Amino acid sequence: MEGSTLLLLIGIAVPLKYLANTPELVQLLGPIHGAIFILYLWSFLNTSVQENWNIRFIIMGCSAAFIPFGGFIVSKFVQNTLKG
Amino acid sequence: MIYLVIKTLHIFFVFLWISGMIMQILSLHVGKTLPGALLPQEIARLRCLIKYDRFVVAPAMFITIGSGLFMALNAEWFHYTWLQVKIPLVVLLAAIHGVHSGKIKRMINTSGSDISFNTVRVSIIFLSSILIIIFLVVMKFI
Repeated sequence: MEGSTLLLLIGIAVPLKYLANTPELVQLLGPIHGAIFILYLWSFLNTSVQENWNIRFIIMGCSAAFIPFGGFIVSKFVQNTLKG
Repeated sequence: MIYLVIKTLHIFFVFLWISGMIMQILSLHVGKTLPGALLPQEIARLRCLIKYDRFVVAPAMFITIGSGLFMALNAEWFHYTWLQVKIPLVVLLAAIHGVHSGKIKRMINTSGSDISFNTVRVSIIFLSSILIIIFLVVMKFI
């Protein structure tokens, strides 16, 4: 969800703001993405501390939220880790 | 009128959230301080705390953040410095809450043997963040 809102924001809303002079989508999506980012950070830290994951992986997981598609990669990795 | 209602709810849920976090810090401090493995009664109390956290504190946190964003959008505060400083502090508090929830769950799973927790450091960060947030909100428009 966090990855999707980030992609919507930087892929659609920001170009619309600067190329088509319509900032409304950024004004709407920005706070939504912010709230979902907090939700992502909270659940990731909760799970990683509970499962006692490596500090390096925790930092990578938190940083991935700022990178396009990073959230999807982390999600896949977490699913595989929790399964195995 | 709706703004005032949302503001009232925002402050109410802030109290629920922060009081829940204080309970987490105290529980972690006690769990770290008392010697030996956790007793069954202590584990039962911690499970109650986790339930309270899941059904009251965590929802209160998300409602606080949601209502805060609603007010900021309505009043167009996002370009003000005070809010730009406040938002990272709120993110920090949410992160601390997530970490402490995980630590309490881990404390139950490992019977208290595998937890690192520095009460003084956590309390300083937690209380100073709240103090700064209150100062920013009271002062506003700096």
